[in-house]
Amino acid sequence: MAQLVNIAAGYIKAPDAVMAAQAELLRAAQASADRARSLTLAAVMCVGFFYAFWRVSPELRARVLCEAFLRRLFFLSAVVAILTTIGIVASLLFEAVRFFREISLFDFFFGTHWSPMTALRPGDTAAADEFVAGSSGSFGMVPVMAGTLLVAVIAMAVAVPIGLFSAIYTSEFASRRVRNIVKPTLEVLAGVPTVVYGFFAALTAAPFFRDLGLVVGLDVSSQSALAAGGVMGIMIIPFISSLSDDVITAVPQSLRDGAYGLGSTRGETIIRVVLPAAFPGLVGAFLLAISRAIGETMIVVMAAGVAANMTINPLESVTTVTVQIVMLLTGDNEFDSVKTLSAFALGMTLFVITLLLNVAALTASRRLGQRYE
Amino acid sequence: MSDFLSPNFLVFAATIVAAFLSFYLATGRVRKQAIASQTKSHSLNQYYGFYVSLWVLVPAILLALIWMFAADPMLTSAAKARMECRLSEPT
Amino acid sequence: MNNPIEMIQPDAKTQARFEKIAQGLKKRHAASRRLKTYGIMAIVTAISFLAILLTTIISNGYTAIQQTELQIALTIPAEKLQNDDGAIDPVKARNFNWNGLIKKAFRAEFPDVTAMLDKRALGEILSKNAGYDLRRQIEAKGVIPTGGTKLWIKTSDDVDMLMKGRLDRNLDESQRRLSDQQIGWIDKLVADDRIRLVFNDTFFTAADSREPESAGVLGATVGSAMALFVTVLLALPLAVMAAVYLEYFAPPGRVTDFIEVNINNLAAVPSIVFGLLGLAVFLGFFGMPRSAPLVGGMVLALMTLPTIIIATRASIRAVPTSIRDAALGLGASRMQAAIDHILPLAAPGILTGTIIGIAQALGETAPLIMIGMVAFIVDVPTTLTDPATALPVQIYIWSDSAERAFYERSSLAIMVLLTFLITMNISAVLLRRKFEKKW
Repeated sequence: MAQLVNIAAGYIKAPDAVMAAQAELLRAAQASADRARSLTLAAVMCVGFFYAFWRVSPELRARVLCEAFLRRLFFLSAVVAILTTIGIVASLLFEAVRFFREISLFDFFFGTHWSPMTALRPGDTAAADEFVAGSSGSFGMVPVMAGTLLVAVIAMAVAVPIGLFSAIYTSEFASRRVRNIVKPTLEVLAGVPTVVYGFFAALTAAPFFRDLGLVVGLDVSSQSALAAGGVMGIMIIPFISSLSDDVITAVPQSLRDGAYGLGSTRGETIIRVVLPAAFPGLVGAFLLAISRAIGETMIVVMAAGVAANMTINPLESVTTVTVQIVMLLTGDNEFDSVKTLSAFALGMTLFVITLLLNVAALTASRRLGQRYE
Repeated sequence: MSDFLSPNFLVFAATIVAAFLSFYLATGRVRKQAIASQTKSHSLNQYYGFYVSLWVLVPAILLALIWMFAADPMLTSAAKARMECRLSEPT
Repeated sequence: MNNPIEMIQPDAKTQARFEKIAQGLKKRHAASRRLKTYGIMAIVTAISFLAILLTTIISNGYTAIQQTELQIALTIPAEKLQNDDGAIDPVKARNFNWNGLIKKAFRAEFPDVTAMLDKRALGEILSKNAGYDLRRQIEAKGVIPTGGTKLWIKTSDDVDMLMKGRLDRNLDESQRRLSDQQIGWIDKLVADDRIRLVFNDTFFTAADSREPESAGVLGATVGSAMALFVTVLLALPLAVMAAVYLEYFAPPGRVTDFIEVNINNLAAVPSIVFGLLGLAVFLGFFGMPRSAPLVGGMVLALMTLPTIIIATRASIRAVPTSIRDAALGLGASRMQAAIDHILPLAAPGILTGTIIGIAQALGETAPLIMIGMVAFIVDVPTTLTDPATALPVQIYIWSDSAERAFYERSSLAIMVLLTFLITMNISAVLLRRKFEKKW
């Protein structure tokens, strides 16, 4: 059918006479439809014009009417945000429901084997056998989720100490001048596109870790979770540092003054007073960073693996939710095979997780705000 | 280059021209009427222009949108039906 | 004498306690200093990461600015290409075996190479697209060079890598992409001064290609520009209208709250989810064309919308209420006050926010991959519905390729992308500085 449309548009040549004739019919129909559309449009415009023109008189409250229209238009643009959310939820849910018609919820969320691309050879493992019936691979997302979490944990392990200590320095120790230089410099890290980090992770960091492993005598996969997670950590540093900086700066000065008055040093004030006071906000910042790490795509697509390994060894290759979505939806798949549908189920899971993390982060930082109002 | 002469572009251009035209016609009309009846019009003249152009543009845009989402699929499905008709014929 | 501390004579026990406190104080200050050092170390680490990232990319990519060429004397048979009136016939030119001509001329210079395999190895020195390039060159000039003219022909990417020192000669022959024999030929050509490195203009004037030496970023850059054009066209008006509505017209209530919650949440939704939305709704439901910058721009618009709305609201709020009050006091309607008085004053802030949002969209890759802008496309797109890629996607495609030369080129493409981003961000900063008003 698409072929016929293309023929009618003149993009490709008709393979045979029947197709050509049909395409000709379609083209004729399209042409007459175009003509009909032009005429209808002209008619509608004329009717609109004469109605409005007839109403024009000095007594007509034209400004009020125009403004009412504009206000409605403005409202509709604000509603686009809601429509986008609805669109996301609806499209993900719609496809995910179709997926869960084929694969049970339980198998998806608790299955420990993920290999959507190839059907399992019968008799691989006893557990695998039950999936063979599905014919197009197995869809247990536990290993994918485990890989995602592993990468996120590595990223946080890199980003939290560096980001937090930077934030402590810029907010508590640094002079105004140093702060004005350091903060924008760190934010450059946030402005670098993720594909650049991915490039760096895949072609610089991963070989570096592999060679390092060879020197030390460890077997490091060339798509190790360490490389992907580490580089992702670098990407997240500015999020944590700038959010934490805001949170720490928001702690009232009176708390610090009280601590100094009681004779504590700067360090003690920070560790015993400022950080505990800022704790909910910091948790919020970390949650936002985790949500960012889980949803990050390009770094892991380029540097992490495709095979779903259940492991907590950072030197091995793991896969993540986002990698699987990209793998499943690129290439020439039919749109409604179980494989592509599973990508939407993964997307749904991803959306829900990040949404929960964001809500939790918001609640946490709101609690900080309430504490010192 | 042929894009600029395509029917879609011509329709688009005509719509824009119609909108501007109606703007000037409306401002002219309200100015004349105000002078004739020696009253002050309720709004600035330009608002009457906007009012009429909106009445020209908005229904047309809505119709075009509806057409876009309704007509093409209808045509293709009609062609599809014809195709299937042909294919089911014994050859 | 008046100092109270000196007046008190501490007993031995208190004295000991003071000493203990004094000793402890040193430790406590040391701890404080340590915390400061950790902070400095963290910042230095983060900044050195940035430095490493940039130096790696620059040191990998700067060589791609040049391309290796080889000089060959060619005799082009004009009679096979020309019409009767002496002009170049495009059909004849297309059918002519340019590659064969170049290869034959090149082989003729090495008469001692006779074995079939060796001949093939010799041919591998030349670019696979050499013939095509030559044809385009001649068609552009419209003149067929006279017999025996020495022309510069692009070499293959392997030779390019060798000339740039990116191919290790000391490696075992079996692991090298060029054999000892081929390197010998190349060395001879270099000694004869017949190999040169020139500015790689192909990189900036061509679209993607299978051969690194014919691949360029123009197609991807145009694709990105088109997508961003659509993004601005959609996102900017929508965002400004939504922001004005939320700031001035939204009645406090559940609907308004819900809109605000939605905007804040959308700002934190992973970009790939927007890609899924585009795939399911724009491609699946509305049946829009795959790989089109139009769809990419729409997806990016939805993605940047929250950013621009938030920035616009901030700059609207930064305009003092006195302006609005004055406008209302002089009899302007609320809509007139907003459109005629607040928006012009907020415009620099809105523009800055938009540029930052667009810069973000320019670097975005994942949603574009989802809607199929990841295809191999050799033509520069000309309309919004042509299949296209975008600059970051091109980087992703190239970094996935096996050839070492693509690695170099994706580094250079990253440098191009970063240049765009830096320009946009600097212009945003400058705009802000120029128009920022202290009320």
